[in-house]
Amino acid sequence: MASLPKFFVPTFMEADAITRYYETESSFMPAPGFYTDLDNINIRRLAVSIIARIWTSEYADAFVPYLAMNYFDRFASRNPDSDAKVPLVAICCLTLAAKMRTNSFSVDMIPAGIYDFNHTTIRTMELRILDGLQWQMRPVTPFSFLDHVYPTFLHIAGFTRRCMNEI
Amino acid sequence: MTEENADAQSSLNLFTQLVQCKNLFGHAHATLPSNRPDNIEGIYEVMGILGEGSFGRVYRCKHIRTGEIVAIKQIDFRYDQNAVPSSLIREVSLLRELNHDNIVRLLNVLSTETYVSLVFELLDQDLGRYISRNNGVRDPWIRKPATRYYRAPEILLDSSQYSTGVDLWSVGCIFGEMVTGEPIFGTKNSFDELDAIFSPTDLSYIFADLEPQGLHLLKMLLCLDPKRRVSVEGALKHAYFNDLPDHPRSRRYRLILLLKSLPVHNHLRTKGFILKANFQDHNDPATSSNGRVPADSLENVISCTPNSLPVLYLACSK
Repeated sequence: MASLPKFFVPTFMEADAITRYYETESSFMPAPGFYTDLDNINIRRLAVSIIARIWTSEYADAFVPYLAMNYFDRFASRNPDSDAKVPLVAICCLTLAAKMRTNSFSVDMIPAGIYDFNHTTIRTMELRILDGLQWQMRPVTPFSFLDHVYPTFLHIAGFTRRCMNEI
Repeated sequence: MTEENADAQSSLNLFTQLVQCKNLFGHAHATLPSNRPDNIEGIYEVMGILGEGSFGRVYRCKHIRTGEIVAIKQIDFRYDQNAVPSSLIREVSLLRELNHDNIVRLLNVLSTETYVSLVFELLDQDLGRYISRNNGVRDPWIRKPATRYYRAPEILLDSSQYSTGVDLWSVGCIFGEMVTGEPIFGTKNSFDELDAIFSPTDLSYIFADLEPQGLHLLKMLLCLDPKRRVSVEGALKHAYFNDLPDHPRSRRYRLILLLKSLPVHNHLRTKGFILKANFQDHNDPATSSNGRVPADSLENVISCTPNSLPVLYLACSK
């Protein structure tokens, strides 16, 4: 079994890819200062609570709510008027994220209850979000850098390839 | 649910690998044209119908102002119970990232309340050029020679049943090629191809260099019965990948990349319309130095796309 080089030297192509990631990552982030604004903190809190209530543990994929919040932050930071519609925007971000990640998701799986939006309302908002995000629904997230940092982890904690494949 | 998640995950992880293809992502994330009207009526003149499918229609259109000829695919989801269909979201978000000569370019997305219009560059000129280069020969096998070596037996036998198993067969062929340095079923035509596939051979003799676990995986990939062939998830969990000595240029690592890329290729392929056939003919000395994909190009395993119809070469580096 061949051993890994102690210090991982990326090839030109890999270095290039990582550079590209750092370059594009910012385009998948909300505007600077978004997270420190008090109003934004409040609407985020509301959005997180709505998403957490809907995406319970019965849906195994934990990346979906993460992705939904990425959409939400990006959309909200560029559309300040969406404040009034936080529940609808949050739910639509979640439906979009779920559709990106799973094959069996249906809008009807959103439990009826406090918020009841009909299909037309959801469709309209989904389209607004898609347009607002320029249909770029596959963001560069910290997870994208896993392959790059993997060799470092390996030396620290005996992190194996299996763990990464599972992520 | 878990299986499909694994599928979706691997396509997401693939972004890591895909972004490496510099050419492919040359102008990724370019912004869409900003003056976006609500409908196509005002800017495009419909010249005819190019195709029709369950999703809607594809029109041949002319930009009224610039005279540019485009293909517009209209997807109507008025009756979709799931609001904006997930296939549409995935297709468009992938296309927004891809920028390569062999993949049709998405020029714009126009959305209305009930349908979305995808504006593509129009391709039929390419096909005309290709056919004339081959002196009008329309043998269907000649139209897709590049992938014949990697084509699964059920496709060679003209089965219309298409499944991911086809790709796993191709992965097996490429895996074998990584070991031996030659296409393992590299034959002149599809009849010889079938002959080679069905002739009883002892894989452990041909692949004497390969580790026993690798041979086991190879046998699972090159299983003649598509129903019994190993799945993408199954292959990724194979003992061959346990405790991977994870050099990015190692055979196993490249094999993982290839396996992980399958869901994306699958997705692209289901949208046959969006792919430009790659007319790089392996048997044409003008396009290939030694009559087949050079073994080096397997270095960038992602570049080698064992697809059936239309061939898609993502970033085939020289």
